[in-house]
Amino acid sequence: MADREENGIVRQELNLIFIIDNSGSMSGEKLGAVNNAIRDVMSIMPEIQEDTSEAIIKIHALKFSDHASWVYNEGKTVSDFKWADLAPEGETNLSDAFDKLEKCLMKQADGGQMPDFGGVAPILILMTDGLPTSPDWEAHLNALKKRGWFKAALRYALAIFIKSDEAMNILTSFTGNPETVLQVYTAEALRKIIRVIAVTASKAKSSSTNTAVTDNNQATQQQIAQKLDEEVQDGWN
Amino acid sequence: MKLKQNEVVALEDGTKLVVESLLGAGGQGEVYLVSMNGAKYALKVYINEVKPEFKKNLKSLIDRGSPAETFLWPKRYFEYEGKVGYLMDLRPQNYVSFTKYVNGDEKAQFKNKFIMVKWCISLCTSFKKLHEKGYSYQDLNDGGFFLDPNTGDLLICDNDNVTADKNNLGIQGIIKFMAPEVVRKEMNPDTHSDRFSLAVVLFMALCKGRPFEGEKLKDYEIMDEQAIFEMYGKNPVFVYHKTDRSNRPIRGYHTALIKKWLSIPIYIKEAFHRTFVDGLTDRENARTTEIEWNKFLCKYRDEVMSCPYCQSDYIYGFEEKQPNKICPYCGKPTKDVCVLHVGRHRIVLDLGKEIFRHHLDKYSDDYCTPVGRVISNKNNPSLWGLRLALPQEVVVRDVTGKEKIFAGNGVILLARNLTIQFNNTTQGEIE
Amino acid sequence: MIEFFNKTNVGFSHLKTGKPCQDFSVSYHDETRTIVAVCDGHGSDVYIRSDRGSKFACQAIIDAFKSVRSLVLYGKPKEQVLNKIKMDILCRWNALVEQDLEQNHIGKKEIEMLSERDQFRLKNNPAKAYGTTLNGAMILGKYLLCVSLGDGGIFGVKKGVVTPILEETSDETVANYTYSMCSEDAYYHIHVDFYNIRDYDGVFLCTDGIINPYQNLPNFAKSFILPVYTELANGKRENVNDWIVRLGEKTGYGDDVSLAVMFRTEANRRLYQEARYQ
Repeated sequence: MADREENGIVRQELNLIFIIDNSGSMSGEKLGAVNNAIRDVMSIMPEIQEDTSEAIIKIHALKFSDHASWVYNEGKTVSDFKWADLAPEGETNLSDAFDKLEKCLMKQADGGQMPDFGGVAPILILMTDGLPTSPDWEAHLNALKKRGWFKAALRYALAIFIKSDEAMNILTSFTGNPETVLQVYTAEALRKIIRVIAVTASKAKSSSTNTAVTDNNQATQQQIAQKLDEEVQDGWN
Repeated sequence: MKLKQNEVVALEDGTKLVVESLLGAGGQGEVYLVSMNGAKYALKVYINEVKPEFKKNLKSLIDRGSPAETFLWPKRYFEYEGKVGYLMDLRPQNYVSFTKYVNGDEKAQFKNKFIMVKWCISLCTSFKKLHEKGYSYQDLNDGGFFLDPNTGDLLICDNDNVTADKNNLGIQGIIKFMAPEVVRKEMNPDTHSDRFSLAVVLFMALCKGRPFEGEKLKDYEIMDEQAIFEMYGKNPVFVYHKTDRSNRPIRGYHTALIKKWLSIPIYIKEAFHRTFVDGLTDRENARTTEIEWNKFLCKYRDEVMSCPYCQSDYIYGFEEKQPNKICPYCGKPTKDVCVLHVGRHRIVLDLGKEIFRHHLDKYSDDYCTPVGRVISNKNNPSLWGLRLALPQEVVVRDVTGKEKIFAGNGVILLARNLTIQFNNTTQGEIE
Repeated sequence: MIEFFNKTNVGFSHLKTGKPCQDFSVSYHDETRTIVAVCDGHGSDVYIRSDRGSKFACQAIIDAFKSVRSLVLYGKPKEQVLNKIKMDILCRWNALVEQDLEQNHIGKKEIEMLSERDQFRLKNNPAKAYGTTLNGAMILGKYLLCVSLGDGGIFGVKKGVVTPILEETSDETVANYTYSMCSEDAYYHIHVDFYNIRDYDGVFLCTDGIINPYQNLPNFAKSFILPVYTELANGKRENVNDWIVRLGEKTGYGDDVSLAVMFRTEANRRLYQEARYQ
């Protein structure tokens, strides 16, 4: 009996979701830095996965330009996730990205990627360099905000070379907190920041799956802020 | 339907009314949108046969006129081919029903507690005027009242059961609002039962709860006539009775009531207690009157302020055991605010707060006309000033004794230790 | 005949930190009725007495269900009868909490480890200390009465098919966020309903410590509920007992685990023997 029973038990999944703007304006060093940064993250992830027995890390990447599409149809484990560099193209259809993200954040029973029972709050990292070209983004964001898994998620947004208040407001609206919208002005800083957020958050989230979400998110944000202070002081202000 | 669309009917003097549409229907009658000489009105038509004394009363209400502009009062008597009713003004679009407010409808919530208390004061003032005219309302219930959530303006509808006090046209009311002696059918509604019902409406407005619905609810498997008779007529127990704890609100069920009661000032709590405990038996002397309510509500309005962290409204706490040091809702420290002392009034000068005519004139019962309002500077929002709305100039003296004259519509920059000479007899100090 | 079973075990993360077991389960049986309940006290720091909270919730369910004389309504409005049961459970839990608070005041020592915000939350609503979920079921006459609040769940089994009962359909409660008996609007999140017992061969009540490791319903039904049912239907209670202990102390997520089961012995035993070897 013991064998059968253990077959049924599945490790908790920690979903790390990158949402990447690969519209035309991202061409050059911006997208280059993003591509680089994700490789960086992937080189450290195996260690983090090894250190945790509580959760299995599943990585998702959603790219958006004229439309949004998943790089893989489902979350990949650290060892299965292979990164192919994104190329710049087209417009900035943020609405479609919010739409696809919303579908992903539903329960498996309802066609999404989240577990039916239990589960760990996902980590969302949105990266963009400007204003969306889809005017109805707000309606799509409001729909997304109704999802329990979105509310529970640890949300970060990286404003790449953005100086416009309007664009900053959109990102703040996504994270719900101005402190988790980070402005980035150099490729080097971008690379470091992505790494710090993805790595610190995965570490924190995968090792404390049993505490309340809100407390846990706050604690993780503090850790990330501290790490950013230490590691990326020069260059991103 | 008593009337058809586009039907033309007439008032007794021959003035023509064109029926445009049905606005609503209730147990007693139907209300139509009609046009008369190009202007739009509401026409209420009774469904059942109308007794002669009811007609007589309705005509008398129209002849004597409205006690205050807050009443949507019958304007013209209507009787046409056996159909009886009356003409009144249309209810403006900005008003929502008090029932919606009580049920938590988002669009019907007062902007803040200051506005909410303003509405309550307007309600008490209206009933004071109605009672002064020798009338009693007899059927106070949530359905008759309307509010503008942004301004706190009040509108009282369904005024056709109003009649001379001690007279009764057959109306008893809605049980959950009725005084117990009326529920028990020992007496007809009158001014004293109006006061009881007024307290019930105020309790609903301020606390979002019902004064006699607490833990006793669980003693009845179903809420049938007998249960309601016991809870409201035979043996009503106030949920916050000081000694009888048998009908306390249920934690986890009376969510809003328990939360709201936290920030009700002690003198308002006492006023409710008097009406809902002593007033159960001493109907003539123990039910808080409209004048008393206004006194307490103005005091409440003066000390209300909002939390800079969680935006909840609470009170300064002048008459509590000790003033609030932390927000009762989030636990963060309270805001450091200036307080204007004028006469026996203490007004917390939080942003948006208003001072009213009665503050400056102790003989005035005008609680609703503002004579000053706390505003913030457009260029530097951290600077607050008192924008005056007075016919006369005021003299302001600072701590060094230096005097400055402000026009009646000037703005006084708020600071501590200012003395404001409003007129010859009235002086205020800001602390 | 009705058979019933209940078992609670501490989870390994609580063993490690020395925290008490915050789950509680009970069963009750007399000549007219059988009642089972499993309740899960919350784990976060502020819920300092949630081990008592879950115990009180179990007691409130048993007492409230015992006072239900019959589920034959004779024309009484069903909604009002169910609401009365909800309110009864809430009031009984409140009373137990209040009594405990009176007898054992929350002392400075008990809360000195908490953040300022948590201390304020407790001061404002001391019931918070006892935060718990609630799942209960009773077989009375030909009816199955169920109550549920927060995570964990009740699952009905009929001819080898598992269906959730009183499932929380809201999208609000994910990732450790759950409705609670201690919240200010607890009543509005308690679900109560009753069913014809013929619609179910048996009913399973589980805290999330049992459910979550299986992640989705098909897996949970296949890998846990049906095998457990088969063991119980074949009289092997010890095996199930061991299973729960192992799930808590070794194989699960480290959370406390509680299971309660009621089933009709006249339901086809052979069915569940077959299910076992599928």
